[in-house]
Amino acid sequence: MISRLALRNGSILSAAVLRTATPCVAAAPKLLFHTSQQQLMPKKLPEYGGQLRLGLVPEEWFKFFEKKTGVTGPYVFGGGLIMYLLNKEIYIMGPETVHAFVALTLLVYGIKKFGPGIAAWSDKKIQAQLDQANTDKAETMSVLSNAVEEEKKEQWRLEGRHYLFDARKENVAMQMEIEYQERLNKVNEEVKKRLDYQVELDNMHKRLEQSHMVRWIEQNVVKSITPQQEKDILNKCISNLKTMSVA
Amino acid sequence: MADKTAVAELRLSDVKVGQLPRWLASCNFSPASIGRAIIRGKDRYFNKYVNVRKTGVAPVSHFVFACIFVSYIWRFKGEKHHRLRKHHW
Repeated sequence: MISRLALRNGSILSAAVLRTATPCVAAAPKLLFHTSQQQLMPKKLPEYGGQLRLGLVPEEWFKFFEKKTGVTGPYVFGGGLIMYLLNKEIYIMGPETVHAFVALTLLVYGIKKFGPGIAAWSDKKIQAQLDQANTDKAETMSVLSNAVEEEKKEQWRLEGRHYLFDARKENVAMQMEIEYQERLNKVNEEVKKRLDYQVELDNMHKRLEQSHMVRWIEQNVVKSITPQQEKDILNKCISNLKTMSVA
Repeated sequence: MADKTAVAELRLSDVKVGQLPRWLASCNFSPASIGRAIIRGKDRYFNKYVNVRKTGVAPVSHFVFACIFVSYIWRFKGEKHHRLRKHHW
């Protein structure tokens, strides 16, 4: 289990855990976890860019002249410049002027009409990307914090491993005890069987001897009864019977 | 002359007219520096008008205006023959 931790993290902390008996999370310095340069957050983009007057001229130019010439200063300057260009024919009116006028009118009309729609569409797309990035970040953070919790729990579990070993030792001791008792029992039974066998053997000897003796005695007795004796006994028996029947 | 280095560090908009020659002399006119200066200018423009959350019409209108302006400059030599009046004040 500890080696699995080391394989997963591959960090110095797990190696330290492997080496020492008791892990210590609080004492590990923070530097161990930063393996690359620290990256600063990029600057946040401003909300709106530079403002333009008439869609072309930056607002700052107007503000620059406002102190000296008032609000209409740049307009007067622009008008004067245009009149000068036309008068001295530095700008020459011709067919291109009509073309430019029509084209610019269409451009301005198109931008004014479709601009907000396109802006909303692109804003929606950007917001979708941002939301995706945020959800990914939140998911990654939760996954990582879960991993940290799991790591802490694993380290807490390590503390209790001596309980595990004790329980296992007890189990093994009990199994050994059981085995010992069983074998003892078996030995007892075997010894008993042997002794019973001997006892049975003796009994059998005695029985055989007895029955043999009885048969032998019977045979001898029957043999010893001579025919004369047999006749005498028979007569005696008959006379007895006669006397018994009379009485 | 004690503030010569100080003049070199000023921006052009902060330099006074009398200090202009000294400021120009302290400029670096090598191609690499000119390239860097051009890119700096581009970055300034982009950071002001393009790298924002809600861009406006600025880049489009500026581009159109720049196209018109440059093309007119190129065409002016031939356009001169189509003046309405030959002589001007």
